[in-house]
Amino acid sequence: MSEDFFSRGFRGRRQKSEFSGRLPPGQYLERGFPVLSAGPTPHTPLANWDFSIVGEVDQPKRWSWDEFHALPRETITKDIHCVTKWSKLDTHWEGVSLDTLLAQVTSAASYVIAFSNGGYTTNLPLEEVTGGKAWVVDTYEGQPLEPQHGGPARLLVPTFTSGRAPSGFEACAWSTRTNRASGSRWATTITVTHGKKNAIGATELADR
Amino acid sequence: MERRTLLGRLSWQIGEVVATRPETVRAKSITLDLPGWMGHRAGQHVDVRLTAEDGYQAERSYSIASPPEEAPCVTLTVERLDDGEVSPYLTEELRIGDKLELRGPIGGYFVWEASMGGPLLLVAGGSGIVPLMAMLRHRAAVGSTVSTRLLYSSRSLEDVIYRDELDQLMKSSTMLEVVQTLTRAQPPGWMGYSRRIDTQMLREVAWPVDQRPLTFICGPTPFVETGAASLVELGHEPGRIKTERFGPTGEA
Repeated sequence: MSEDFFSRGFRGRRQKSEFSGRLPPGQYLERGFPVLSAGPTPHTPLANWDFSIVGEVDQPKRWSWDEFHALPRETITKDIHCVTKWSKLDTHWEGVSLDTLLAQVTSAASYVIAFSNGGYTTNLPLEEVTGGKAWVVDTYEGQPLEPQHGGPARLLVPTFTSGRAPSGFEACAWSTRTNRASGSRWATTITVTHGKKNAIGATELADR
Repeated sequence: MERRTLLGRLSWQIGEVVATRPETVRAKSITLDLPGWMGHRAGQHVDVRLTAEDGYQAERSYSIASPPEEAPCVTLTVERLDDGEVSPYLTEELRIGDKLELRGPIGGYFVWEASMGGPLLLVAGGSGIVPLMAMLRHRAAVGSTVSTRLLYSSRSLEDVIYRDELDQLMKSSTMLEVVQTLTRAQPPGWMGYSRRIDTQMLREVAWPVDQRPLTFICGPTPFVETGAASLVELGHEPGRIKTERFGPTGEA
């Protein structure tokens, strides 16, 4: 607002220098793991879990939990920065790269839409989630990912503010068409699976 | 039109502190006069931004405690976290006449308006009462008769935020019931619950499943997890249970 506004008497608790360079302006270092969700946490039995890629693809693909686990896995160490201002440094995850998953379908699409089992969706340009930038992860700090953090599996896109990556998601679709009329990047052609509920609050945050 | 509204709530604006009020030893209400306020709905929150003289900034989100009917005044209730950066400033340093920078309102999901009806079940853990109090104040301000139950968990009687006002609200509306649980210390003769919320407590307090209550739960993450999971276990529709969590997992 005004350039020279300051809060009388506020000094602030500066971050320790060893971390300060890794925190974007306004973010604070969080040692716990806050939960961002808008309803009861879905508990998806592994026997019912699946992950699929549908939409503008030559042949839709679907993986059961066991099939998903047979895919080549990667370990990921990343800093995550949530839109609600907390950051966690050096988080360790394991999962399957979207490069690996998307290599199993043929498409000319340029966007992906991820659908979570709570009905939350997010739309990301393909270039933002390929080339080692996004994973479907099921393990956090060596343990199975807890339901309240999106377990059994969630999308991890560290380059995006984490509130935008849906947790507990079941399907991933993509499209070449975007909804130009409204000026948004949301694709218009997708009808895919959805489930119970989760993370609608993340939609609000993504709107900010 | 929509664009202007969006920019309006995303722009930082400066309010002046016109009143402060200690609610408990750790919680304080701060009332701001915001001439540019575009209105809000009960349950929404704001971002508050503090700026040091050298430009260093810290930003946090706080729920709005006041009802829409009090605009352009907006009241926040802030609980001091001992290791916090922003809450100690807001609760101990900030005083009447100071300016505070904020933006909002934010959030379109965890909101209740009288027109949404009920019956309403509000479940609060600690300072999770704040956005639910905005709902109760809105309900009172518009003279709503929506059947409402509040289950409010605090550590002790001294930690109960809005204690007198809740009593008043309950006396002035026969359609409002307030049920409290004190988890750590209870005064002599305490008639309420004396334990953390659980399925049995919600079975006793929540509306029957066939009345399809609209539920709002706000509190620390483990509290909300327990409350929401218990209600689902009792047969309530997940789609009618809205939650707002704060703090990391595993926090007491």
